[in-house]
Amino acid sequence: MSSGAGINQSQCAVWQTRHGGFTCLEHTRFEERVLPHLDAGYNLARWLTRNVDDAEDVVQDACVRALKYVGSLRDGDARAWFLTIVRHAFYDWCERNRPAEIVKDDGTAIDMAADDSAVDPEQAALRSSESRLLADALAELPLAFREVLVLRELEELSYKEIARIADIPIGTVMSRLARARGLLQRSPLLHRDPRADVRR
Amino acid sequence: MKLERWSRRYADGEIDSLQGRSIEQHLRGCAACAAKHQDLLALRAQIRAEVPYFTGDAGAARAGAGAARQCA
Repeated sequence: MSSGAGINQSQCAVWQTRHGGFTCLEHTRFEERVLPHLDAGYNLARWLTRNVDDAEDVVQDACVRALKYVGSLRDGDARAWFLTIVRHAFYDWCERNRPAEIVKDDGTAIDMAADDSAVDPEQAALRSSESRLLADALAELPLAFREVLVLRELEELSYKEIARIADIPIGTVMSRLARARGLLQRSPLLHRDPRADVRR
Repeated sequence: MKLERWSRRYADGEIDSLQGRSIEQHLRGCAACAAKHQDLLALRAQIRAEVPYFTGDAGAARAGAGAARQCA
């Protein structure tokens, strides 16, 4: 656990002096409530950005935001609260750095992105001959599907929690999960001949 | 299709015990639904076995420290 990266009292005082309005109580709350979920935030950012350095940037931005708004965190689930902030930080980062990756949530575009016909048989055959892992197939899922699957399978969050974090209806959570799992189940990576790897 | 949705909710632990017993009863008598249910459970097990959870011992710490530095 990386809670050792927390903010000490002197840094807190510096923050107060330079930025004003932030109290040690808020820093304490940040350390006690938010930092235990730093790994969860990093894992989500890592799967969304698919890059070590970019994930660190997103989490750093999320930590700054969390510190700023920690006063609004009451008795609710701090992990879901922080993951919501991480997700927002990611989408802001994505708009600045990879705007093409954001598929507008109008339903149509996302459905098209996950349409069965979008799987090119030749590409699938090529991929099946390579030594790839299920993790690679997950990383290649469209963003809208990847995020709900990571929140469900890696964070083990409920439909309701995922709906709140991703700001979508529960029915959409269910349909995206189903599509995401369907895409993975049909992935040639799951059905490749293990002997192919030995022959390589 | 409706049964599939209920089966998925069952696999995700998103239904109550009474509904769960109904689903279990159906799965015992329907080979097609039972096969899909098993496929889903197998996929979930494979995800948890093969997909890494990035704890980012170094990365998360650097990110947290970075946030702290922005304070300083």
